[in-house]
Amino acid sequence: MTVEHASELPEVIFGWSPMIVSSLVLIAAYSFIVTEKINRAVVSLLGAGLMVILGVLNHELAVEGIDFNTIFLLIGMMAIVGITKRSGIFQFVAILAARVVKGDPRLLLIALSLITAVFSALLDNVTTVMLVVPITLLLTEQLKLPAYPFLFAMIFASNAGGTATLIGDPPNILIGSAVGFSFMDFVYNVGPASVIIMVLLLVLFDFVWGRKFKTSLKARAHLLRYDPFEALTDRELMWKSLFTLGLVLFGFIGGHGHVEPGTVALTGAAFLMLLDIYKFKPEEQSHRVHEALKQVEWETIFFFIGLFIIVYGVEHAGVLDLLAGKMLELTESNMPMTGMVILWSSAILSAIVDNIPFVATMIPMIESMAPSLGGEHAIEPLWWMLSLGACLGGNGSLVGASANVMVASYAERAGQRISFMKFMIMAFPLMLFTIAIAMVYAWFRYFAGM
Amino acid sequence: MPCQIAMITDVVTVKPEMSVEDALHLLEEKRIRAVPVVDDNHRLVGMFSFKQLLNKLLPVSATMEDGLQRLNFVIGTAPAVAKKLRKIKGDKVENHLNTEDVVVLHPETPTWETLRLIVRHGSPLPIITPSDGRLVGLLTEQSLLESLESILEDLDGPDDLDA
Repeated sequence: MTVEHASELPEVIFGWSPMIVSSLVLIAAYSFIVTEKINRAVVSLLGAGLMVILGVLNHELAVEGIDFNTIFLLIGMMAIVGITKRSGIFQFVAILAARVVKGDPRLLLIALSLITAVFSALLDNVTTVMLVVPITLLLTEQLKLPAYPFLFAMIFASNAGGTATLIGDPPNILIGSAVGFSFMDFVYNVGPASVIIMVLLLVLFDFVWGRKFKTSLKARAHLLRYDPFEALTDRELMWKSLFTLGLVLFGFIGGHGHVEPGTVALTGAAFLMLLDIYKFKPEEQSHRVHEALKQVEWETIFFFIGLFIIVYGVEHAGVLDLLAGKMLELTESNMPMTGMVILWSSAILSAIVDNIPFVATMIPMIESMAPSLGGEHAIEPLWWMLSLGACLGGNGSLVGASANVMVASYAERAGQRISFMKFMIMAFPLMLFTIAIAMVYAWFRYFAGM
Repeated sequence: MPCQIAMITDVVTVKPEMSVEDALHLLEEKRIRAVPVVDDNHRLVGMFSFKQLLNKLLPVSATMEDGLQRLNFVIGTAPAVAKKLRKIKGDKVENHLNTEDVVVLHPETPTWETLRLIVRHGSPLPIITPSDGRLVGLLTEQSLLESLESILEDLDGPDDLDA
């Protein structure tokens, strides 16, 4: 990302310094996002508008700042999942798991956490918990168990599972798209850390809750009468969806270097819509496409668009180069040190605030560190530190990730409110523990020889 | 014609402390589907109805917003549902009311709006005074139709004379 357009730029109004103006817009926008007083999509779009109106960017530069690969990937996956969930396959898997473990609550906790982790790795985390939490609430109600341990485990499983792949969590989508990492790059680099952490978490959850669960054989007998196949509402749609998801995954892996993931996901979404509608009359087709596109969380999409422009504004003004330089001074251009600073700071910040704006700002900063740290290839571990820190850090509090907020709102609707402090007292130390594991992993994997 | 003229004022009510079992007996005895629940100051607390009670027999995961859409995969639940009904019957009415989003009418609610609400939400609907929320009467599908019929008679009468 070079600054070739600088000469064509309109002057920043009143001849102010673009660095100061863009920084002020960024700080103002981020403080509104952090305090959550105003909807984040509205704040980011207003901030983006100011960047252009105040003359930090012009229209062409603003458009250039938007990472359409990320936008298309998000829209495509959201639409695919929106159609797939109509088939009932996600409930099917959860009920099947409850049958397989014969309603044993201890195994059920592990099974539901694993399902959440795997779904989160392949789908958006918020969607995953929206699919798994209602069925979990039903199962715990039938077993007369408290829902809290299950919901707590689900939050951790969704964030740990989401860490493992390119499409699992928005920070990974952002990093993958900006740096050009493939689906398999993520599986190979952050996947093992995610698996190790997930195993340790399951052991811990079993120790704290699972082994103490008590339920009657009678209550368990209820679960044995569940028929998972009845939950499959549309088998034809299920096969169409699984076929499309398979093609999309194949496209991510096989198409790397030729086709961007965003193109694969959006084309996949169009393909699944085609399979879903081709038999119907035009009116019904248009109704179905409308419903599928409604499943896309447009608020998130516009939040990303605005954010990209805001970050491009400060990047363009040279603020991020300056900050990256300061950070390297602090770490004395020492690679492992820089990695650890990125890991821990992104974890702690992501626990308290939205991790998406943080990652979006860190990306150009890390990019500009490359020359001082030995080039693009040498800084690769830094990206994995950012991914692990930002994704796992989301576990630290109830507002750390959108999936957490979604789980909490379901718990409240079910009359089993999760208190912010009660969650944080256990979740924050546990999050630090997972980051410590990630640190040990990264040390042996990337930094031990340095 | 505001909905006042179609209002039934001779209304049976129950107190929030009444047991669900007694309230159910009352519904059966009076052959009605729903009864307004009022506090000591005659303010409307909610509506207790067969439908509301049946809703309480569902698991919360099915009645919550964005909850489960279908429950056909759960088989053989009749004994458990019956036991839940027994448990609810011993409880107070106030614990099994829908107190939020209760659809209410005011004495001055115009006819079309009254019609729209009753078509959408079913009968009966409570009529309360807007200022203090006190129950003044009920509106049912029958009472609304009857009042429209009587208006028709009034209209036809003088018209014929004029002609």
